[in-house]
This record gives sequence, C-alpha cells and structure tokens, in this order.
Amino acid sequence: MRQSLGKIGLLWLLIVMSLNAAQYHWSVLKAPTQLHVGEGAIIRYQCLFDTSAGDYTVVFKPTSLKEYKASMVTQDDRVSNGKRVLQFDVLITPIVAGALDIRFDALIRHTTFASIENASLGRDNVKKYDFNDEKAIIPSVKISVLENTADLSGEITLDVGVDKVKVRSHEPVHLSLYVRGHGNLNEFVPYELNISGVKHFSEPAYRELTLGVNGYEGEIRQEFALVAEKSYVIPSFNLSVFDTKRHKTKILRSQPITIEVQKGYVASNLLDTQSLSHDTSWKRYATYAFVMLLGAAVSEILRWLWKHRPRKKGKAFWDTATTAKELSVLLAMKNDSRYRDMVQMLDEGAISVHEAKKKLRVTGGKQ
Amino acid sequence: MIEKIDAIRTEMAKVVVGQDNMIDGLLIGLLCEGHILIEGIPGLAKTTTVKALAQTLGLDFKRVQFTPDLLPSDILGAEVYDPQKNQFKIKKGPIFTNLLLSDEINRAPAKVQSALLEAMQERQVTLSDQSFELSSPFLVMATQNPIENEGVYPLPEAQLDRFMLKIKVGYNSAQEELLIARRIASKSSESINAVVDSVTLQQLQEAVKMVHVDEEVERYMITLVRATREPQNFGLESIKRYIQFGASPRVSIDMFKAVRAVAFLKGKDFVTPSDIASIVKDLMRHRIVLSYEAEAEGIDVDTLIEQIVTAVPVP
Repeated sequence: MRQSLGKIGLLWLLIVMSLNAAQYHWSVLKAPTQLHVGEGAIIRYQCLFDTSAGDYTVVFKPTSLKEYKASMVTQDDRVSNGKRVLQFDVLITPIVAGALDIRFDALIRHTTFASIENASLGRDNVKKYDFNDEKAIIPSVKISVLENTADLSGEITLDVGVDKVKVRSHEPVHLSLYVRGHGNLNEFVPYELNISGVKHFSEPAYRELTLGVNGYEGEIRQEFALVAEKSYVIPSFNLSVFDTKRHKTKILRSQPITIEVQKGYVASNLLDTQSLSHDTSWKRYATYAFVMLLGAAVSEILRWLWKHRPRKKGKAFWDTATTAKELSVLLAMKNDSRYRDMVQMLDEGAISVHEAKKKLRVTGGKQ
Repeated sequence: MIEKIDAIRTEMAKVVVGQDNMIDGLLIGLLCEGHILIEGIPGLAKTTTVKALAQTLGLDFKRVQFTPDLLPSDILGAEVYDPQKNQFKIKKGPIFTNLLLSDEINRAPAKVQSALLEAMQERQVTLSDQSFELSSPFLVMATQNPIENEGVYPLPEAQLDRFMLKIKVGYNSAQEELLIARRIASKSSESINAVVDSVTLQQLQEAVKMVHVDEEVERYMITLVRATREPQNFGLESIKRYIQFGASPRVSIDMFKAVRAVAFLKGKDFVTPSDIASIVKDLMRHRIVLSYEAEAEGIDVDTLIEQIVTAVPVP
C-alpha cells in the first residue's frame, strides 16, 4: 500500500513538471535523398514549441565530419499563432561516396526562474544567468552519395582574358582568370602558370564568395603579369565541373592565347643606376679617424673653457642695502639672534651702514 | 609694564630652553588677541611651550588632541538628551576656555578644522539654535606637523587666514640641546607660577595699543601687503607666476596690531621698519597661496616674502 502511494506521488510530480515545462518537437522539413560528392544541398530543420517559449535558448551548431561538410546558412526564429518556431537551413556537402547518416545534436536551455528574478532585481551576490540544459533529439537524415571526380560541382563558368596580345619585350601582359557561379567554389584550387621563357608574377587568388542556399556563390579571380623577350602562347585552362542542374560532368576549357613580343626595351636600360660607391681605401678610414680626433679635441677645449669661465664673487644678502634702514630691515627679516643688537644700533642711528657692513663682514653678525 | 613680560619669559624659561622666536610669537598673539599656528616637526617643545605660557597666565586652559576620528562636536559641544529631566541640554565642549591648545590640528579632517572657524573669527559658538559668547581673552594656539608628513590633512585657506601668525619652529642650537638633555635626564624642571592675571593681561593689551605707528610706516605696511598681490609693480615680474593669491586684507589688519606688540616686547613705544621685517614672514607665510609652478620648482614662500620686502622701498 505504502509503495503504491509512493509511485502515485512520483507519477503526479512528473505530470505536474511536464505540464509546467514547454514541449517542443524537432522535424526535418526538407532533405535530399541522393547527392554526388561535392554537390551541396540544404537540409531544413524545424523546432516547434507548444508555447512562445521566450525563456528557452536553442543551441544548434552543426559540425562537419570526415564524410561531409556542414555549414549553417540561415536560422529563423519566430512566433507563429502563439507558438515559437525555429528553422535552420544547413548546407551539406558530401566528401566521400556511400550512405550518409546525418545526426546533429542541439541543446535546449531553459532559463531558471531564480536567475530571471535575480537579474531583474539586480542582486549582485548570486549567479545572474542560470539554465537547465536538455539535449534535444533531432531526426536523422539518410543520403545516398554517388561518386564524382570533377574538380568542382555546381553551375560554374570559366573566363580567361588578357589586356593586350602584342607587346614589346619586357612589357608585361596582364592575364585575368575568372571562375564564377555557385556550388562548392570554396574548393577551387588556384592555377599555377609555367610557360617556358616567360617570367610570371601573381598574387593570391581573390575570392569574393557568400554562402547561400545554392552553396558558395560569387567569383574567384586570378591575376598574372607575364613578361618575356620572345613571343609565347598562353595555354588553355581546363576545369572539370559536375553540373548539378543537368547531373553530368563537363569540361570548361579556355582558348590558347598567342602573345606577340616585339623587340623593345633592353634589360640594362630598365634598371636604376647604383649611386653608392664602395670605396674602402685608407683615405676613407683616415678621414673617419681625423673627424673623431677633432671632435675629442674640440670637446676638451670646451671643457677647459667652461671650467675656467669667469665667475662672480658671492655677495652677502645685506650687500644690496644702501641705507641704515634698509640694512636693519634685511637683518631683522632673518630673525637671527646674531643680528639683534646690530638691528637695534642701526634703528637708533648708533652705527652707519658702512660701519655695520664692515662689522658684518668681519664678525658675521657677532658683537 | 615690560617687567611683566620679562616675568613671563623667566617662568617659561624654567621648562623651555631657547626657542625665543616661538615665545615671542606666542606673546605677540597674547597681546594682540590673535590666534597662533605653530609648525614644526615632532619633538621641538611646541606643546610644552604653549602649556607653559598658559600656566604663567593663570587663565583657563584646555587642550584638544586632534585625531583623524575627531568630530566637530568633540570640540564645540553638542545638544544631548537628559533622560532624568526628559529634555535636551547643551553640553559645552572644550572650546569654552581662555586658551585652547589645538594639538596637531592637521591630524583631523577638514570638517573638524572648520568647526573652529566661527569661534576664531566671531568669538562665539552656535550649538543647535543657540549662540554662546566665548570668554575673553580667547586664543587658539594650534600646533601642526609639516604638510609633508604622513597622515596629515592640510588646513583650508579660510582657516589659515584666521591665524594671525604662523610660526615655524626650528631645531635648538647644540648648546641648548645639551641643556635640554641634561635637564630632562636629571628631572630638574621647576614648576611654573602664574605671574600674570587676566586684569594685568588686559592692561598689557591696552599698553600695546598705545605704541605709536608713524603714517609713513603705516603706508609701508600696506605697500608690503599689496606687493604680494602685484609684485610686478615693484620690479618683481619674475615671481608673479609663483603667486596664485597674495595676502588678504586680514594681513594688513593683523600687521597693524602685531608690529605694535613687536615694538612693545623690545621696550619701545614706536614702530620701526625693522619691527615689521622681523614679523612679516610669520604674518604672511600661511596666507600667500603659491601656484603649482612654484610648488613644482620647489619655491619657498619665505624666499618670496624676502624678495618682496627687499624690493619695497623702506621709508
């Protein structure tokens, strides 16, 4: 009887807890069943709550594995008919052929009531943000991946052009190569040029790509500067692409370009003349030694002159006084008992200023 | 009358060795009813001298040791509740005395120092809604450690201006120090007798007022005070930037009183410029506000005063 009561109580508690918590449901709205290697496609996940669930945070970060690459393209969070709906578009690009079973994890974080209260009251002695974490179950997606040996996949074009086809020797030709479109453009490996008798200069490939529902979309540009003394041919560039629209591989090929090089500049004329001499004769070192010795001698002379500069003889503070009253004021101001009698004599006119100064010089104020 | 002053000096000499300038300054303050601020490092008999002076006068004397936790009510007094009579009553503080020794005044914060402002200027104290007259004479003799010392609060300018003199106390001579050490070691200091009562003190103060000051000397004093405000008018352009504020009109008022006392202490009945020169630094050093440039360059206010006195023509 007692055990039954316990079970009933536990069941009631679970029911109350489940009633208080918001319910949610994950589903897959859109997913491909078959793909080729390198062909990207969107999988759309949806998380539907049964309430507005404002105090819930969903942490969904799809991770790539060695079989596929996963990138979050968009995520949408809205409330529809009083219910919170989250949608995530994840771009999947298979790396190897075979059967793919894609399973992602998500974390449902429920902000605790205590932490909401603490944050709103501004309590500073407690943890302000606290969550109850729960791992969500997300349905898996199965995709059959077919073999594909093409360099890239998608809808892609290749354009190659030069700024001029006739130049003088040592005059550069600028070659531009564009790969445009959408697909797995991020996988593009830049070309390396190697034309016999031609010096070429290039910068890293410039990629202007954005991630979208069609994969990486935009443009990749490679710039080369080619310099030669003789005419040459820029060979054709080849790129194999799996066309995701027609589901077949095609080769994009540019036309070879002949560059006619005429006689023109001579290499030595293009270089700057060297102005620095590298004279290391004994005269140079003798000059250095002479300048150093001269500096030392000048500083020694200046030091001697400073040491023997004419200096004023020290004056006593009373020397500026010209009258007896002035002298008595200067002495009295010192508040020194040595001058007390002298001040009195000066005030009484018992001693002249000259006599007083004479006495001060001899005795320093003592009578 | 001068023999009374000599009697005070003799009594004080029983416990104080040397420090003639400090004793003269205290006597000037006593004769002119001016408050005195004594500054010096610890151990130079500042407190001993003030206590000795109080004892020779036979006046009511109180001492307050200023500390960082002192409150204004600890000096002035406060309205306290009497539970037996079920009413508030005024409990007067130690300021109700003739001679108040404010020992180490700059150890207390500014609010406590400022509590003395009304008492020093108006010679009255207001507690709650009542004002109380202080007894006459009322003198504040404060001692302080130099500002550079640890744990001190500088006195506010308004407070400093209320002190007639700021006396700087220096070390005794070697001979005096030997005498002090011998006297303390043998515990042979004598007790001090009160040689002057309040009536005699009043007579002395009246006698000081009778000392003659020539009109030219009066003008000289005003010129000296004004020279601290406009030193450039006396060929001292170079020191103008060191002075933020010159001496206040209170200096002129106090100088007119103090120089009479200086002459009186010398046994004269007239004032000469040398009397002014001997007291001018004590009168002005705490009332001239130096600029930050002066502080940065380590310019001493006494040096500036000496330059000003030297520059002003003596009548």
